[in-house]
Amino acid sequence: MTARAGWWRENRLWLASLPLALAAVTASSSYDLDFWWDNGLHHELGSAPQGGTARVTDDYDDALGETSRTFEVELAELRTTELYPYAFEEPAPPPDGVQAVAVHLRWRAEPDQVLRGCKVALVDDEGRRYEADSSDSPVACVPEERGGPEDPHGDVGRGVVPDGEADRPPTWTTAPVVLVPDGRTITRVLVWWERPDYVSLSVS
Amino acid sequence: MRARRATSTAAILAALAVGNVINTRLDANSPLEPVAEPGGVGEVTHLTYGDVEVTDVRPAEYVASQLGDELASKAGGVYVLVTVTVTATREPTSFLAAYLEDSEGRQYRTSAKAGCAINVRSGTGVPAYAVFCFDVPPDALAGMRFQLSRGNLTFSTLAGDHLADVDLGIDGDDEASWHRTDAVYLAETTSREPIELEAVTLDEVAP
Amino acid sequence: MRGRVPGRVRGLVARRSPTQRLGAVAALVVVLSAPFGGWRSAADQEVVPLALDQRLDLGPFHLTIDSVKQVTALPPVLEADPDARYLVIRTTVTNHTDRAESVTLAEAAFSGDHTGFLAWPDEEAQLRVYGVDDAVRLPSGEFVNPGITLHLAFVLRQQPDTDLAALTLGVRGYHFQEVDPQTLDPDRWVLDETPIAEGHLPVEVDA
Repeated sequence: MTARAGWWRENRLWLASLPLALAAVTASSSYDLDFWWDNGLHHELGSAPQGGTARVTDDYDDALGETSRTFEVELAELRTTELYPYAFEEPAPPPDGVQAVAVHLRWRAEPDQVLRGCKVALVDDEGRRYEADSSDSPVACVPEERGGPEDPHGDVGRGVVPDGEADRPPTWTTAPVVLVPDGRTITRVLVWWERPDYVSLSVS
Repeated sequence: MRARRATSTAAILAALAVGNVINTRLDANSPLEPVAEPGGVGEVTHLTYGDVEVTDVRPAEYVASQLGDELASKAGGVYVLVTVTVTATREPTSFLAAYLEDSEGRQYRTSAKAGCAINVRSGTGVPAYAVFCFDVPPDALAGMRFQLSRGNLTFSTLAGDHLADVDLGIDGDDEASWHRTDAVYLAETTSREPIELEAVTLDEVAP
Repeated sequence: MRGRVPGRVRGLVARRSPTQRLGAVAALVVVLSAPFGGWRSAADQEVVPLALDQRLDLGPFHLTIDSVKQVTALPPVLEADPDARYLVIRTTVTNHTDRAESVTLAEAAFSGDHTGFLAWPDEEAQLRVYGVDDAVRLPSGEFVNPGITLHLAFVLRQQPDTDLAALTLGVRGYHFQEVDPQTLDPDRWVLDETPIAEGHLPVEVDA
């Protein structure tokens, strides 16, 4: 046996642990990867073509632990509107060179499912994303004044509908409005609550 | 055997020394520097996530509140009012980090008491307008640059961000005249329409 | 011959008492702590008597107390209150560093004894901070940019019968902490325990 082979043999334990150390170093900086993954829209929960129904179950964590929401959503149409619903102001025409596009969605869900607080966005053929502003279109996914239960918070447990509101009907429609510059080709509508999960509805 | 032990000892000491140098001298823990994209007043600076254009720069002695009965803020040095148009290009974007940087590399923050914008948010392809107000020493005016980027609320750093680095075109003559400015403007924050600064005169308040 | 040296060292160690050995270990630790800052000199500043017009270096700021007055009202910002007087500490504050520093640092530098302190309604801060030149109250998030000098009034609400002859004030400084292993919050100012200057200042009383 040569001296060199002896060295490899003598240090075999350390040599074997080198890849493990490398893996540990990589794992210890993985929070950057987690941060990137959780901050973007990276996981498609379900999809449907325009006029088709996406049946979705979205597992997520609320203040009390693991839970889920189950619903159906369909993209009826995208329609340009003359006025944009600016928050705290009278509806007004969008700025020059920009269109107001109403996203007409049809929904179906059990009244006990939590569907408040979603985001709706349009995506064009170059991957650019246009979002419905949450103060201008505060209820993008539930009927106004009948939004159904809220997520638990403070003393409020799961499944509680705010005082004075009737239960959400089993089917309803919404039409959040999105600002899109002229000349963009919209290919998809995205709906999401917690990133990185989203529902994708293609535009035909 | 002894020579080998001496070699090992020397190697360990050398490794410790190198580790110490890396930790103390190389500043391995400091975040990535942002990537500056140079620009000038009246030209659009294209960033990977948006466009930034400084449309107006002017000095002021006072910035007055939009609420008529509040007192106007006086600069310790000179207020520099930077009017900006931003347009997100990929996705709705908040521009959270607005600074001035002088020719010596010193960084200046927006003045909170002036009541101007502290950040600005733009929808994709939809321009947003903002006025940022900075209180800076008059002798640092020449060569001042305006820097705007997304920033990061979680880590409050500009780590590796693409940053608009706009030369405000202030030369030595401007510095000399801006020093003596007595201009007063109404404070502006952000708007979806272009902003025209409004000059006003102040009423004296009995002390 | 080569074997003799460790042998001699061993013998030398064996002949020492436990106390001496402990001392030797301690001395070695001190020597080895040098690269990690163990030999940096400890702060040995003396507390000087506080005086008007005395420029104090807090670290982030130069601070000079220009006057101390007790007033019943401070128009146009504070109305008279039968249950309280206002102690107005007028200062000149200059940021002599190369980065923006929070006004909170100047505010937190003050301490006092026998101040007759009364809480401000609905707020936690003991001192309110106003600009002397514009009477504008500084927002808590305000920064002083590098090279900027502000005239600031720090206002304490106090009991009307406060014995002003017994009142003492103190001003503390800061040391700069580049690396904080506990908070991972680098490059921040840490308040010193002992004041730079402390003592009684003449208080003018405006009836």
